[in-house]
Amino acid sequence: MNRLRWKDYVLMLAMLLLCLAMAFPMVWMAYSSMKPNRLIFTDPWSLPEQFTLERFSEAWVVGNLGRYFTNSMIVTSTTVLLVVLLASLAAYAFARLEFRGRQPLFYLFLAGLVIPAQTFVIPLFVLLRNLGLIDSYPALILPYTALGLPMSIFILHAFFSTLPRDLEDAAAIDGCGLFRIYSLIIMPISKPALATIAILAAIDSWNEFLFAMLFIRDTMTRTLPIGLYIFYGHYDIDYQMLFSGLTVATIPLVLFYVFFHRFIIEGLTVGALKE
Amino acid sequence: MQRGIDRYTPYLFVLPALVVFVLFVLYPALDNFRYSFFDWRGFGPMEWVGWANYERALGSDGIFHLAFRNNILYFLGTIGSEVAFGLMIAFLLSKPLPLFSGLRVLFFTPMVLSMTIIGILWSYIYHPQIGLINSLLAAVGQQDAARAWLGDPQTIIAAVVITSGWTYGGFFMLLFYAGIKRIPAALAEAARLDGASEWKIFTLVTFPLLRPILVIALLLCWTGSFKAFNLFWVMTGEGGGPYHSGEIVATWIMKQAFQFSRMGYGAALAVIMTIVVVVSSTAYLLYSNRQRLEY
Repeated sequence: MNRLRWKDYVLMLAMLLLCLAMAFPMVWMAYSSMKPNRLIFTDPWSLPEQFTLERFSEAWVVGNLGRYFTNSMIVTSTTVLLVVLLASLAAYAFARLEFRGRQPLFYLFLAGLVIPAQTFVIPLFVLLRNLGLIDSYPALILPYTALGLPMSIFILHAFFSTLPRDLEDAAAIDGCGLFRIYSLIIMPISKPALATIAILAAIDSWNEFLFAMLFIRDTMTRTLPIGLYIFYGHYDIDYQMLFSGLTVATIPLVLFYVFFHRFIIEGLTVGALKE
Repeated sequence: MQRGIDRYTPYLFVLPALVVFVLFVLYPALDNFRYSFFDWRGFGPMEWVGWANYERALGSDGIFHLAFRNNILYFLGTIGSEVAFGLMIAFLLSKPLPLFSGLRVLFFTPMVLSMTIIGILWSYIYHPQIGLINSLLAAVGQQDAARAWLGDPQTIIAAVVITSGWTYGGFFMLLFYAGIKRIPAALAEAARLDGASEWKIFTLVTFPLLRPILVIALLLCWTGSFKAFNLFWVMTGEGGGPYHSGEIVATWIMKQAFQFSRMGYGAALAVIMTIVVVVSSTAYLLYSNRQRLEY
């Protein structure tokens, strides 16, 4: 690489400053949780006088965040398992097997990429109510799985299509059935693609708001986004409490991003580009 | 291939996904069409009303029209705050300088936060008393410019547009960055040797080659404007703000169906929105593909 010129330093400095400005809302949220309301009110920009996490546990308890957190974990992990299993089975068939109706069925799933949730949320609500699922975890898990399938099948289909056929052919000659080829050969070598769709499905279901608001009215099964929204309604003028709750809810997401950012970036951008 | 394979086996692979997808997305989406011809409160008998819901939506429902206008304003705004902003950052961060790969990752961070957290956080940035913006204005002696950014019909959409840009800017940055990386470096290098300025290189070399990505980015912005719900719901007090100035189609549909118990009417609004989104997106894609062929 060439030696850096002064122009490069100016650009680096400018981009660094812009990045800090972009990050500032999150930093502000975190340090405001350490300032008493009086200080937040009189000078919202000022730094806290001391480092303290005392309101974190309080926000966790009064906001019932532990309960919501657990519910979100249950809903998200089940959704991710189902999406990975169902999408990989279907994508394998679409990429590798010959059967009548393959193209139309594949496009049927892709149609799910463009349908806005408002298109089907009203009948979906009625359906779930008729099935007696309102206020239960499946009321979220089943629709989240259905919503996660199109993009996941799409990404996996593209990935499976790039795999060499040699291994499968060899296994078929050895008398392996399709399910064994799928589970013993395709799945193990597709871990990166599976990780990508798992993470995409996890982010989407963890953050989903509309269905969670409409299908769950019970505190015992409510998920985190709605829980936070209600928390915000109760503590909108107890700024420190509110910022503590928001910060507590943000930390796991940021950590998740720090660990998995490669897969997350891959999943969120690659899907859009191939559309 | 496919020795000894039962011809029904492939369907076993597809079936589980198909059942879930049809039952919880496709069937409700079609059923929504049927609902739109009824007057129904969500329980009790359904009353057939023909096209009445559509006549009302297209005729007398001024708030629906206002919501539609707001969706378009929001779309136009996000072209600037999400697409243009992302494109600019992508171009600047595409230089092979130290720090920049880390900065790209940092810019993307808001994408993993929930819109609920983002919406609440930014409500406080725009807050009339403790807001960062108003206190910054006060600090530089511009108290008169301070206002309740989300409580003022003049600024409410713009405020959400900026928050949207903060969230999705990094996403569009990475889309464009992936495109820029695919452009052979020799092209820009040749222009640079000919003495072209960075601005000229961007407008005459980089930008035209990014056209396919730009086509997709604008489409995502357009469909995204109709998928937007969470941010508006949280930031504009359950979608609305003063005099419905922050109402968008999605929030109005939800209010009709689930707050006013007009399920049939909400369904009709959803049908109209779906038709608008699907028809316009298809036409746009066909048009932009044809343009590409003419080159």
